[in-house]
Amino acid sequence: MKVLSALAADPARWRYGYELGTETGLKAGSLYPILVRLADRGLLEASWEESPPPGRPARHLYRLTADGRELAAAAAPAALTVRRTAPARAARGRRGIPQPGGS
Amino acid sequence: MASDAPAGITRWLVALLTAAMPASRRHWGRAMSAELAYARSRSERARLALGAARVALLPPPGVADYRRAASRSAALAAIAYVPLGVGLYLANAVFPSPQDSTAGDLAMDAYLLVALMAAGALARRASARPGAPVIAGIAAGLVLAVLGMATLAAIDNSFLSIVSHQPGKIGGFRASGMTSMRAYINSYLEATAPGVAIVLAIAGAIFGAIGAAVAQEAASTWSHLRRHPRR
Repeated sequence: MKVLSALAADPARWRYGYELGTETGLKAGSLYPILVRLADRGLLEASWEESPPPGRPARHLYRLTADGRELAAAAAPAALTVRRTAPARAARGRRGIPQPGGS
Repeated sequence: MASDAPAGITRWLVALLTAAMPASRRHWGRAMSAELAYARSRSERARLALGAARVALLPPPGVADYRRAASRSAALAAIAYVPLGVGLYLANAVFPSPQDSTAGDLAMDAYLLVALMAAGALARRASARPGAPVIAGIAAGLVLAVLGMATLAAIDNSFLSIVSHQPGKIGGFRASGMTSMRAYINSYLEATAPGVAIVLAIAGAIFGAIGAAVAQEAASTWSHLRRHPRR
């Protein structure tokens, strides 16, 4: 639910796994199985970063599908509260995330 | 300790776990491999490796859907069985009849079929996969078979002095050549239990699919009526 709410806070924007983990307080060990389940149910779409930093591999980016946005809207009308309570570090990490084209 | 694992070992571990994932999930392993390059500490790398291990252990995509449909239908079957179990108890132990009741048997069969159809209809709501109502019906049929045979075993052993007057049991006992009615009843139950389970599982597969189709038709008819109400 935390992940769904965090993604629903700005549904058009693609997020890194690290950023989602910081926002939700979930460690990678818990976060990725949740993301996989959301994707399996058609609630999450993933894409690869188009312009990774030089010398670094492209990262996976995530955002809700239309079904995911519907579910989040039905289940968590106050999704924005997650964003408000997110630590400042997460806000810094969000800046400058490139958006993959055509997705 | 995993948290002290050097980056190379963690990378190798995540690559190994990625190879162990189903083909449709390997991009998740590659995503975690990429995240390793951005991890700021050993503990973050170790957590990514743990995430990869958990993703590798997740059941393949379809299995979770089928499991959800089957578990909901099994729960429905267990609830639906309650009146049936009470009926078996009343018919065998409280109001025993010297003759088998055809009407009672037919009512019980009809109830079972309705319960199996309801299991299929419920599965349609739990999963959009076409095979889900069949799997759910099989699960419901098996639950009904297990509960039914367990109830009969409990009734027959607890009220042996009553059930041993049933004509069918007397005839079967005489033909068996056994010396103990209890031993005969239990061996009969043991011998018939697999057959009952198979028959109810097959009935569950068929009537679960029918129930899902009926529910789908009813839902589309209802939706059509709501959109185009008759004047």
